[in-house]
Amino acid sequence: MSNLVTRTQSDKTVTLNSNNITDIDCQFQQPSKNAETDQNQANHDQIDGLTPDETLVNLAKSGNKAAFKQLYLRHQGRVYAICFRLSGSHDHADEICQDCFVRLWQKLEQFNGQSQFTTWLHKLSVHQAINSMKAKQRFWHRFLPDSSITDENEQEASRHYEYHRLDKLIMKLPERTRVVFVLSAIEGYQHQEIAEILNIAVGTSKTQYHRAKQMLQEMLS
Amino acid sequence: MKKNQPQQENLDDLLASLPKEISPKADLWQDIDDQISAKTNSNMTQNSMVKGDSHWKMIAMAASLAFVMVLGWKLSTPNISSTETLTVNNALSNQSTEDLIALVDQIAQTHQQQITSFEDNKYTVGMQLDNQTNPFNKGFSELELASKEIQQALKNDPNNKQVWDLWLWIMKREIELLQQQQRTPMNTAPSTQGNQI
Repeated sequence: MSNLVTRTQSDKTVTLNSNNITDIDCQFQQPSKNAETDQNQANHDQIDGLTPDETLVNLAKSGNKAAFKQLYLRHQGRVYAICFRLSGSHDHADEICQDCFVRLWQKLEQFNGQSQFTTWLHKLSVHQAINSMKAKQRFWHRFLPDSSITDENEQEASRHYEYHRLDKLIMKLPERTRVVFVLSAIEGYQHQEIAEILNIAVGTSKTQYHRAKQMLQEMLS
Repeated sequence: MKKNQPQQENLDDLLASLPKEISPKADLWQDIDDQISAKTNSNMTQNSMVKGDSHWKMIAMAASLAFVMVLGWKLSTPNISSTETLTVNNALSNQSTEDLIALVDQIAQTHQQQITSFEDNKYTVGMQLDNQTNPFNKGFSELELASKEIQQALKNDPNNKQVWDLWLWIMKREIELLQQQQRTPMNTAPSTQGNQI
């Protein structure tokens, strides 16, 4: 067992290893527990699909789960799309999406309203998704040739006919290439930002992006 | 460059038509709610703990570390003189690719029979808990999934000794986990009235 751990730690072929991911601040921020129950009940009655994000955030900060659920219902599609495309796996996306909303609950106190909530949530989700991918990466994948994992994703892609054609092609890309392509081409990040998020060189990000485009074009031809 | 132009346009078109949102297949809220509640409770417990117990924490950590080291040493001790390992080493040096693929299937079948024999002998409450509740089941499912994925990889590349080793190692852990499960207090005695659901 110890041998295996050593091999795991020294394996240089890992596509998303711990050196390449920037862990976001993990300080636990619990929403205030001083919220009055009566106030929560009153606020609960006010919550609906028209309640602005900022109001929901303020309610959720005080521990109002109904407000937080409304935020979840409103933004789950966007967050799930990020998780699904970054992870390239339907199963992983479920878990990672859950992680994003749990982290959102913990970090809500830090949202100060200086930017749009959606912008802030988007950045938080990208960071959390990448951290979760690192944490959830199945250890035996590190020992398998890239082709086996790509084959596995390909099989999964073929099972989901309802996905957009490009989503199915993205699933077939190798992990690092896929992550860079999704962040750059779909989520609109600059290579400098991607380099910071993934802790890689800007040149590496550009190379991976061009590799992804090339592979996708070959798949399309 | 010109040759890539239509494909480039096609890729751009696909990017432009890509939906910004994708709906999850299942409702994730319940799990999120559970995790939030669990974390909130654990944080409250942590806050209420007395800070002066760092001495005991150190002792507990040292004891845990020692336990893990002993366990790790025990698990890594090579009693891998199993027939599978010998067969594989022999086969890798002598057999053709087709024979190796057949050997993968044969070993998988033998392993499945071993698993089934454990399944046939389970009879108590501990093994009847659902997957979410029973940590053994969760761990076993993870190992089983690993075993199947590695088996597939092995069939694609049957001469890869490292993948062979990993596969045998995973199957061994599966058996050990089932053995551990049977040794837990709930599973040591035959079922009697009252301990079956």
